[in-house]
Amino acid sequence: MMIEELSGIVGADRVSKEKASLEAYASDNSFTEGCAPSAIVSPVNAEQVVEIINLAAREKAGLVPSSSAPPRFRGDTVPEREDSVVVDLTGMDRIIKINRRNKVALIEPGVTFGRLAREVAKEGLKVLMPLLPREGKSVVGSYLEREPILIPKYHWDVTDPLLCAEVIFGTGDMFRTGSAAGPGDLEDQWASERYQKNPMGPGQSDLIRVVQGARGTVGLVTWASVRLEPLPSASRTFIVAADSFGELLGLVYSMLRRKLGEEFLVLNGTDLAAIVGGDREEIEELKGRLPPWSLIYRVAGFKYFPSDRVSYQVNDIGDLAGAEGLEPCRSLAGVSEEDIGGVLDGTSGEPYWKFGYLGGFADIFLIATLEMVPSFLELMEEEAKKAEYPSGNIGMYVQPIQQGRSCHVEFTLYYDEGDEGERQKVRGLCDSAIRRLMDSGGFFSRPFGPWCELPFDRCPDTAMLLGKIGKMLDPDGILNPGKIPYRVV
Amino acid sequence: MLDDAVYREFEEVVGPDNISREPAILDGYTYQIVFNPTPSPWLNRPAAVALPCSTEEVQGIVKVCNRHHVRFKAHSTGWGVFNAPGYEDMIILDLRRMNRILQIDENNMFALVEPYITCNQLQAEAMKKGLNCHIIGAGPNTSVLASCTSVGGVGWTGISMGYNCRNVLGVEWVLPTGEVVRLGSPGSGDGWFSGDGPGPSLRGIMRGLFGAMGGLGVFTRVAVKLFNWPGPKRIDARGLMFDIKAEVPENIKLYILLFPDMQRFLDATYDLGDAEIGWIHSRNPAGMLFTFLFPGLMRETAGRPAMRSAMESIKHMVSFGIAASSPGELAYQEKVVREVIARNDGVLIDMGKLPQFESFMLFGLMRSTLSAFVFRAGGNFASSLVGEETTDSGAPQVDLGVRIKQEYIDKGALIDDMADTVWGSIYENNLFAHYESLMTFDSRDPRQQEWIKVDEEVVDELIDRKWGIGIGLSGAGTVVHKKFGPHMCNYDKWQRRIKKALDPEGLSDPIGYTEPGD
Repeated sequence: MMIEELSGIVGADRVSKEKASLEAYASDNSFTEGCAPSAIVSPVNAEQVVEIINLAAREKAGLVPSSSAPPRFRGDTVPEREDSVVVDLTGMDRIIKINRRNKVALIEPGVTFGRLAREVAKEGLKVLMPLLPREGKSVVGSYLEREPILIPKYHWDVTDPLLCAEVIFGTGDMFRTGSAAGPGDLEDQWASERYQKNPMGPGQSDLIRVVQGARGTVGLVTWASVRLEPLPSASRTFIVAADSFGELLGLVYSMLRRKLGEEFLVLNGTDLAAIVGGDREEIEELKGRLPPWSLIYRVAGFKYFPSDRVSYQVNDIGDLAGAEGLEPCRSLAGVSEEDIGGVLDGTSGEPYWKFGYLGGFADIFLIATLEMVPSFLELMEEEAKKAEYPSGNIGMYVQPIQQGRSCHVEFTLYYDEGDEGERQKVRGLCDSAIRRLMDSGGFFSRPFGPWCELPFDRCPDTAMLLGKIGKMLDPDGILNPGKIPYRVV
Repeated sequence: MLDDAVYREFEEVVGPDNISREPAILDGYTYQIVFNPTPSPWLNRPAAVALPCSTEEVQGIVKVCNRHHVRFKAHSTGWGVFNAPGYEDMIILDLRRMNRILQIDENNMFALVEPYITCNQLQAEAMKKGLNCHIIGAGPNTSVLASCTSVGGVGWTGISMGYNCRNVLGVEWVLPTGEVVRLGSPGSGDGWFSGDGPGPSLRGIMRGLFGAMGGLGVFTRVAVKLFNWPGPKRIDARGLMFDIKAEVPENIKLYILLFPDMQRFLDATYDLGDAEIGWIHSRNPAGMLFTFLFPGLMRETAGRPAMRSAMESIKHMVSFGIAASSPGELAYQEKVVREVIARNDGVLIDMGKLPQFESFMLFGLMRSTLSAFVFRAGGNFASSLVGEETTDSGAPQVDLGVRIKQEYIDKGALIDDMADTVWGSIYENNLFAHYESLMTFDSRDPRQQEWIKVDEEVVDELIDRKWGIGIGLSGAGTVVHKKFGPHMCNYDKWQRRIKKALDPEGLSDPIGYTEPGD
């Protein structure tokens, strides 16, 4: 794409061809293979994004959107075509609106979790966080990726906490989803107490659902409204220890059924140690002390009688746990309530927490029902054994989603960053494990890395229909080419 | 008329006992009074009706339609004008033989149902497993699948059980061109627990705020979310409707909440939402309840300003319910609701002190049997408004809807129900609210043929003031798109493109959706 034309759109100082910057996009922490982009362009508003997309369509050049600061993990921002231009959206970082009464914020894609959490806390609100995002992670980017949030009761539908969005499709058309579509612009809508809260529509389609999960292949989001929730007035955090995931299953199901608890997640000892531990030595030591599995949850009270709410929930959960032969604790093996609170509320320190243990890591994640999880754990251990990878180094994180109707299952394979042989071993393990997990009923709803084609091979009818919709929204195939395999119909 | 050879092809798919072109049978599919804006209750007579019993048979019919360029439309429980054939010479797929609950997954809280499972059937079965389903405002006799995939999704339990558009997991869908797609995890053979992915979610093509009303093929299975039900597996009841007598479980509480004005109703609603309590929440103004429940008494209020003034003073009325899983939770929720009422100068009436009324309201609200009463006053009704945004944004819309409606009441074009019959519910702890202004009338009365004009005036003013959208105008279709599209990012253009991508020949009845186009 012509640098002059890009410069004409955003200004010369917002277009980069600096080699080191370009090379930084040529790979990420995944095993995705790609190439450096030809340029990086940094628009500051939606009008510029429209012009960039129109230019790319004329030039048939690829555009790779990027809204978070490095490091990057999923392969989404690694260009597959040398003519690609990275559209760096980190400069579009305005918090456009926060409305306390309606518990909503309207933000641009460059707004990060850390910053938004600090700003909305001033209004007595909290951001719905994924597990310890890095400080520079884009809120909009995370929600568009359908990363799970820590509070399952607020995950009513898969789109949550994303509500409405402004999107520029591959056709160059600007579109606003949900109730943000109109009538009127944002100022008009605010004047009539409408705060872009209804995610459905407009009309008889929900195009936000198509944009979400598309890895930037159908449209670029220039702002989005996101659901917020009240900050608790009182809270207590608990850990329930277990020797196996299966021991926790009854309690997990019964709590989710009744929407008891706020933040709610299950970690194995390796992941919990990696999160609360410091350096490698400390993490190793903690791994030895921590139980194999921990259910972590918080109970909270809000504006009305907060201690009453905490009290009845503590009692009810205690009864449910007792019936399962389990005991909620305030601290465990030296891990305190404060340690856990930091995990539930914060962003990761530097370096990102998964780098802390061995320096390198690879993730495998899928969704399933909770009762499917134990068989996946066995399968992973079998595959690790075959690959001669120490199964004790596998971090496991289970996050109930959709209020408990399914869960996000994440395996983290930690490895020595400096050992290329180890890295290749982990890559091979990922490959074999992903295929077996798929064959065993794991649903890879968020394709990632070099395995992004595999889930579509299993659902050719869905792939066919996606091909038609992809063609409709990005007829020239310019948006993040290759990241979703839109099959030619 | 269908060509005999084509008819025989349909017959081969479903068998001769399951297809008909008898005029008397066909007319059963043409009579639709609800939301019908035309003067006649009789709409287009289809050429034939087929009763498939499986996805394969649905697919077979759709493929015959494609071979011979025959339009088709799916029909399940058939509530409202959206079900009427858009054209003559088309075939109706009456899905009443697809009437199974295929699975209730107790742990993972969802049910897999076919199109002719009604809300009350699913609720009765779910309750046996300690679960419940969101029943839409149209009533318990409606198809669960239809509200999830094809039409609306509002109802009184939205505060705790959401909106049916958002309660969808896996879906089985026969596309207009005859391919079968399973959305989400079932597409990969992984069970029905998710409807999204891999990658982009095609649920966004399937439907939006409204469904495609039969314009995008046929949905044959849906996995729908179920929610906790702390009540008994079965509530024994004797009698029907008003006379129903039932034991209300101790962990269920029903209240009427009264507020002195709109602002305090709004403030209390936000407080209840933030407190995350409640099972049922619905604004049911006094005029609405009296008109629906006691139409004779309501007629007596004409010319009695004192009675009407008394009713006017209690119009900001909310039906509110609690269903608690433990004594501690019940005590907490009761304490909060009483405090919210106190802080907002409201009045709380505990229906438990009125046993017969409580019994009636339990089924009225839990099973949505109150919906049927809307037909009592005049035999027909329609809706306008439907601002579905924040709870606050509904307040001026209520005033607007009432003002316009009053003009029509004054000239005898609508039954006098004191004009404010705006019912409204909040969803997902007050994420958004739905406000719907009901109008009752007698379709046989020549003076009462004008409800659609109320809709048009409301919609025009909502658009002019940039206040929001209305449903009205029968909810969807080209007339609505022309009105709203230019003010809402030309969404109708994308719908035409979706239609073109999925149904280039426009065979799946476009009347309630759109024709294919660019």
